[in-house]
Amino acid sequence: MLPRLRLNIGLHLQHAIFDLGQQAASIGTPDGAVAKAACDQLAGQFGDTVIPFSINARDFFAQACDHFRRQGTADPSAIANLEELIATLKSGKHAKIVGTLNYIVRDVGEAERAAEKMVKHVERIQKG
Amino acid sequence: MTLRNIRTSARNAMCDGFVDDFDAGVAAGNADMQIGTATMASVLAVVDFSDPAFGAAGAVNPGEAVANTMTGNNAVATGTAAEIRFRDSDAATIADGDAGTAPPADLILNTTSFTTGDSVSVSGGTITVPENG
Repeated sequence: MLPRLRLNIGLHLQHAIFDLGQQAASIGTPDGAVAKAACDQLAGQFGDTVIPFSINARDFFAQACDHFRRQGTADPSAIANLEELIATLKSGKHAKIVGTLNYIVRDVGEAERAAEKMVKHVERIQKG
Repeated sequence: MTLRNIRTSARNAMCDGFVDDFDAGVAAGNADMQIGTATMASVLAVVDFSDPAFGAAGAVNPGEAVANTMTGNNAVATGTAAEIRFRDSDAATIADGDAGTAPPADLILNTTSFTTGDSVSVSGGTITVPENG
């Protein structure tokens, strides 16, 4: 059951809504400004209530590894210990990760360009 | 302009061109898919394609090519999987996609939390050129 361990945290609702508004405003578009105004109004309607919720502990620590790697300042042994903790949370030293690929080409032009590239490749081979 | 109602023969031709690109290059037969963190800042694991990487488009469904056996490897880093990158046999990027635990991610994983040494495999795969582009 260790993979189900969750971190219990909480956020001040008022602050969270206000922060969303700040993010929307930073986009700099008219709809961002509208969203900020809506968030500011909504934030004013709540008291300083902390909303409890939880997140998957394993995901959190994996994100922490991403963060420390990007920063490049953490002690490598500390990161190694963090990796060890994630492995423990997976209830096994080396978990099995399985995926299924279902890639849909977003832009038909992308496929066309690849097809053209292949034609040129074949032409090159034929020319020797 | 967004294309609509692309006929099956055209979809298959474009899909074949797309997936054949995987096998091109000096080192043919070495195409792979990298699984990485956001913006591919770190590569977490690599899955190798067969040679050829895919079967003929349209063999199963219109505009779709099914991947031949994909060989998994152990994760080489710890982190959160967010993106995938297809690379041809010369390690040049063909296309990028998203990794996640649910659609609309292109690669659906049972977990996005990777730890060095984890066994990573992909049970099957398709690439589709849609009817409406």
